[in-house]
Amino acid sequence: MEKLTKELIEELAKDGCTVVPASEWVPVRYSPEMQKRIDEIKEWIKTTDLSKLPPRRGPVKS
Amino acid sequence: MKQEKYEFKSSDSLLEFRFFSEGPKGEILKVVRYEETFKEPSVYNLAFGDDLGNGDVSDEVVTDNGDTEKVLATVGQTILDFFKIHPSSWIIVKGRTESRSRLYRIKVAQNLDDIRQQLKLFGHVNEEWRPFEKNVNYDSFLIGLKD
Repeated sequence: MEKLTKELIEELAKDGCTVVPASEWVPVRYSPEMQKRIDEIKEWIKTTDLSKLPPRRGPVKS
Repeated sequence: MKQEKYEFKSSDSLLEFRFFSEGPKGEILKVVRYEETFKEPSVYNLAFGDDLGNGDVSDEVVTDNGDTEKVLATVGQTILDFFKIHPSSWIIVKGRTESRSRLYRIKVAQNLDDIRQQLKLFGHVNEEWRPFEKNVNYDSFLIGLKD
């Protein structure tokens, strides 16, 4: 992940979002039950037909 | 999406967001996390739950803090912010229970005009993804940024 630009950080701040540097961010851990459901979603989505969705495009803003 | 929202914090990957729900039950830390669940097309799962205070997040807690509208508006804002650096991805939202999915359907339908100004929305029903329409019992949703 590239570092966010100053402009984007300011834009996020206007949305009420404060960006915290990765070095200060402690990722959360899902409860076992929640992790199980997320794993099930990962498997389930493979069974759905995503081919009819419109293609996504656009530059990555960082 | 002009409802009142909470201020929130994000990791610099814009994949995890945190904010405090404030109400009769006190301050409750909410966590929204996007995790890639499929590639080509890129699909991220939206996971949303309460911090249990032991490092775990759970979506089984019914907070009942009297601020559902404000909480959902804040989650909606994280979706828009996620797309600021992941504009080509989809977000999947799948309620933990049928009642949770119904709540999402109702809130989306109530705010559909605002949502459609910025986002594309599909629902999953009868084993296929279809453009979102009101009064259809979708079990899951896919959200993409409008071109």
